[in-house]
Amino acid sequence: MILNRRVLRDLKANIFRYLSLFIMIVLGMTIVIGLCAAAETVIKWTNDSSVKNHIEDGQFSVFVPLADNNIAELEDKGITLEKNFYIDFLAEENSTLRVFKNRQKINLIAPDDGEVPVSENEIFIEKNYAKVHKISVGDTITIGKINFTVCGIGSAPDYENVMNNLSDIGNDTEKFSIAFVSDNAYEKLSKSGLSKKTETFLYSFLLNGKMTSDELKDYLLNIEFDENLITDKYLREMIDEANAKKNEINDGIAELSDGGNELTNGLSKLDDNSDKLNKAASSVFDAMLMSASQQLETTLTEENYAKALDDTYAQLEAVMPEKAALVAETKAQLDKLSEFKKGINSYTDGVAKAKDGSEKLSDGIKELQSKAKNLTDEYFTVNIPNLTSYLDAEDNPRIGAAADDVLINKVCAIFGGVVLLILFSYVISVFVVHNIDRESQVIGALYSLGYVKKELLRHYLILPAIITFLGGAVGTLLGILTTSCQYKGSIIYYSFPTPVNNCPAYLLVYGLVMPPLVSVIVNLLVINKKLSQSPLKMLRHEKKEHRISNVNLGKISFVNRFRIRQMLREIRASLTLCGGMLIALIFMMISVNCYAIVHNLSEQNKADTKFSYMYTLKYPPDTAPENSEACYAETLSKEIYGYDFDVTVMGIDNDSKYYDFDVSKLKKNEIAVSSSVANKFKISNGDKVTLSDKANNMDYTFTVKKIVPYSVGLNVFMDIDKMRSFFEQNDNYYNVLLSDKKLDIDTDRVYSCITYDDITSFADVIGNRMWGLIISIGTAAIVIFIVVMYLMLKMMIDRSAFSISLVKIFGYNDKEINKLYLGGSFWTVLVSALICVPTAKFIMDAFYPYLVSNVACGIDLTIFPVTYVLIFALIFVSYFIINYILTWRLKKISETDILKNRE
Amino acid sequence: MFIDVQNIKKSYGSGESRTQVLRGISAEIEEGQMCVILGPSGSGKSTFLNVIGGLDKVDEGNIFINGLDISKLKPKALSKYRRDYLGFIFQFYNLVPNLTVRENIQVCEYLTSSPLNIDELIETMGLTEHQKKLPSQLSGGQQQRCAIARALVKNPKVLLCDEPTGALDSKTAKEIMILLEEVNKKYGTTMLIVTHNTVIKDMVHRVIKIKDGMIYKNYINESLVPASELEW
Repeated sequence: MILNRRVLRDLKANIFRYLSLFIMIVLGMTIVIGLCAAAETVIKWTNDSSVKNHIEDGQFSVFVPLADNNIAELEDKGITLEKNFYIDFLAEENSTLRVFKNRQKINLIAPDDGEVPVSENEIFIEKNYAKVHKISVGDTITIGKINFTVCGIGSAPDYENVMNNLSDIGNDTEKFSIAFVSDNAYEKLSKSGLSKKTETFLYSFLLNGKMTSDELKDYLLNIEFDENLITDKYLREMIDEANAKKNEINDGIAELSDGGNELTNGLSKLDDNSDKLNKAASSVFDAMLMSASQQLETTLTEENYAKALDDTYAQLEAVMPEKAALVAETKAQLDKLSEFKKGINSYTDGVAKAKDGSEKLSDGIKELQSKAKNLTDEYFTVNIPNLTSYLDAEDNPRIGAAADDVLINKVCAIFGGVVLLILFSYVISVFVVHNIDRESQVIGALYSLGYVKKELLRHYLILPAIITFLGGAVGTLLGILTTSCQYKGSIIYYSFPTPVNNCPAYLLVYGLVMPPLVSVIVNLLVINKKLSQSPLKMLRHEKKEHRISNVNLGKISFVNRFRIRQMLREIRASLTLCGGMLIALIFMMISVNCYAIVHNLSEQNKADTKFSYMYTLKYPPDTAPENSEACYAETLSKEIYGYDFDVTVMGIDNDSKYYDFDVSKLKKNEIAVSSSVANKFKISNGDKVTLSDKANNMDYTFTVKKIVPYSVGLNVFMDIDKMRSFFEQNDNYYNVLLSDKKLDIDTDRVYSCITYDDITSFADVIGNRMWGLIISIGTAAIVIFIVVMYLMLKMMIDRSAFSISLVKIFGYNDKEINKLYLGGSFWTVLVSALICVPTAKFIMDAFYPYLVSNVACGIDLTIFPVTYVLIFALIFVSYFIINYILTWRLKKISETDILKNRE
Repeated sequence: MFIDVQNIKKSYGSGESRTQVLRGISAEIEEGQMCVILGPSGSGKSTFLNVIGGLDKVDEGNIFINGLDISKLKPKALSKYRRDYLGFIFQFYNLVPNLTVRENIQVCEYLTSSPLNIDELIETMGLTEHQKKLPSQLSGGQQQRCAIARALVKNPKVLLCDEPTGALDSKTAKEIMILLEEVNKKYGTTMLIVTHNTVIKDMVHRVIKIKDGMIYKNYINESLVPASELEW
């Protein structure tokens, strides 16, 4: 169609306008495609290398290493299991290196340079740590007072995000990283006694489809550990102490039992001789009785001797006093013997009873012994669940972190790309509509001559489609070429093998097809109505007067009236300017919010962290050391946006030196939620919050009683006594120590030690990472805003060129013309800014938590009021610069040229 | 009859502001005739031209063009009617500003499968040396010639001219009318010319005078005067 020859001429005639839009589209698509290609590269590469290096399906840690039979049993079930024990050591420049043995089956390390360690003096260092500390293959480093030669530099798939603790916000490979040594070297290091904390007994596993994760966890929960395998001296001590107490009681009872048996045996023997004794006593008495009977020539018995002898004495007392005395003596002897015999009888009866009693005593002691054993087994056995943590790979923030991170970038880039294209396409459509208005009579003539709407629609859609296609194509090409720049941030921050660029086909379709498609759709929707007017209306150049243009303005001055009418006439361009401002500000608010989150995190962490050291203990001493404060912490988890985050339940004293809030009035299942948790999980006062103990398959539901200002990590607080009761711990139990100074604690007791510097530096690490993004997005937003504002304001001037030349002819000077035609735009920009700035902030605040959904920190997006002032200042500085340029444009409009091309 | 207009009525507006522009017009025009429609401003002559051109709808009546009742046609069919039958010439030319003379003519060449020879047409219009110029580089007369060539290139059965000389000086206007006369003779195109310039009535075959929406005179011109001899 010959009409289409106009397209290039129109382009040439308005080259600046279309070039600026083309450049904007190129820039936008470069960033979008670059981000998407970078994301696809990182996602594919990390997934592929994880598979290649046998990434674990999960991991678990135990108090006591698993027994061989447990391992064998799991392997028989088809599970692949590998020890992934580690120890932390102080290394270069006060950093920490977590040392592992080289892996054979799971989570294989991937060298970027060099090789895996084989001999005893070789060490493999994580790549980002090596870069920061300027370590190369062949260098020597010292760990645990042992010199190692660096044999390789690379990464491990289970430490893609090289975090020290799973609850950390992010990583700082300057301060913490991982290293691998040979088996022998590891054994040497573990015996050196120079580790920063106790060894962690971690296992990685592959399910191989033979068991589910829940089945494996149940199996592990039911394993009792073999006490003989305990190497940890504190656990050994704890168990020995408990066993000693148990043994003491049981031994005591055993002694009692032995004593009882001896008593019974002794008494039995005595009882056995009781008859003999009784008989002997009777014999002696009977012999004496017989002798007395013979002497007295009478028969004396035990029953009558006393009377008989008394009678005999009475008879003889007066006559034969010596014989009477003899009789009395005999009676006395018989009395004594009778007593003796009775006494022996009583004694032997007593012995028999004692024997019965001792038999009963022995039976009772046996029963006591049996029950005491059960009791001591129950109360003196160290009942520690061996499984201390269990984590599936999908919930592990160290694994797949890079892919998760860039996935968010990708989604936002794709969405942002469409939004930008809609904006640019709409801007183009405003120009097309302007052209249609200008050429209305020509179009009417074409309709009169037989052209149909479809043909003209196609004609007017060509230029937008060409510009957006070319912009998209160039932007796609540049985006692909700059892919490595876009994922550079990921490589610097995360640890994975250096990727090969990947640009899936859908990105080419997105980059080449989406821009012209969006442009055609937007322009079609906008200009279809314009071209649907009847040929006669087009010929007559009839413009549809919107009611808004004819609004009654009352009694206001001519200048103001003119300006208002001018604004109303250009309502489409004004709305486009407002829309462009809104979109630019939404992008700018990404930068603003990034800055806010980093700044607030940094300031608040510094203000809220009152301790210098926080020790998390595996084996707390009986009493807390001097100058330290004991707390109790349990690590549970909560999910949001598909990510599981560790939430620490911290039990504190009411008069805690390190926390400024009162938890004493909280009941047993009530918590005070930190501001970071409240922000992250959108929790309010009075809410019920469920936190999970994944290792032990338990859920705990708490009621939120207050929200306290605390920004560090993700913490909730309880009164320590109520917490001990809630979690069924002893009255004095604690496992965290806070202090202002370094404590002298055996490192074997310590799980981890976090310092004030560790906490406060994290925000700086995140800030350093985000600055590039803040600047690039902020700059892009400013450019978009300026270009859209300039194009719209310029178009308003161009559309009014005829009337401007008329008023020049009437005698208005430049200043007055400026006031009439540009003065109103100030109010347009002001009103737009007043609406768009808070709207953009509101929209981005609602959307932003999704952008940082994988980050374990609260989202405080509060910005200083001065930030709003700066934004407004930026808007108006841009406006005044553009205004100045357009004033110059107004001066250029000539009266005669315009009158020649009359309307 | 080639063009047969039967009692057409047309009004605009509603209620109190309703204006009856055509109050029952009937006319017949033979094929190949040049017909002038005269009348003062607001008489309805342009409206009459527009309804014949299918640009406006009548309220009552019928319009037959070569047997085709265009008053009943839907918009799509009307577009086809204009494409196949009509050429239009306007007072202010309405050329596409960034196409050359030749390209402006080619704009309508595209609409037909049997166009006239462009080079011949350009020569007839006296635009050979101007064919690569843009409309802004032409005088009013040259632009109108270009518009005429554009309208004629698709060899229309009917040429509708709405004040073709209205924006031209008398000398140029005469040249344009001479050109139209030539075209009529050469191609046999039926022409309807709306104008308020009464001089033209002497050179055409039929004169229709409209006043207040009604034809008050409709006659055949028995003594044609060539356009070149008219006193402008």
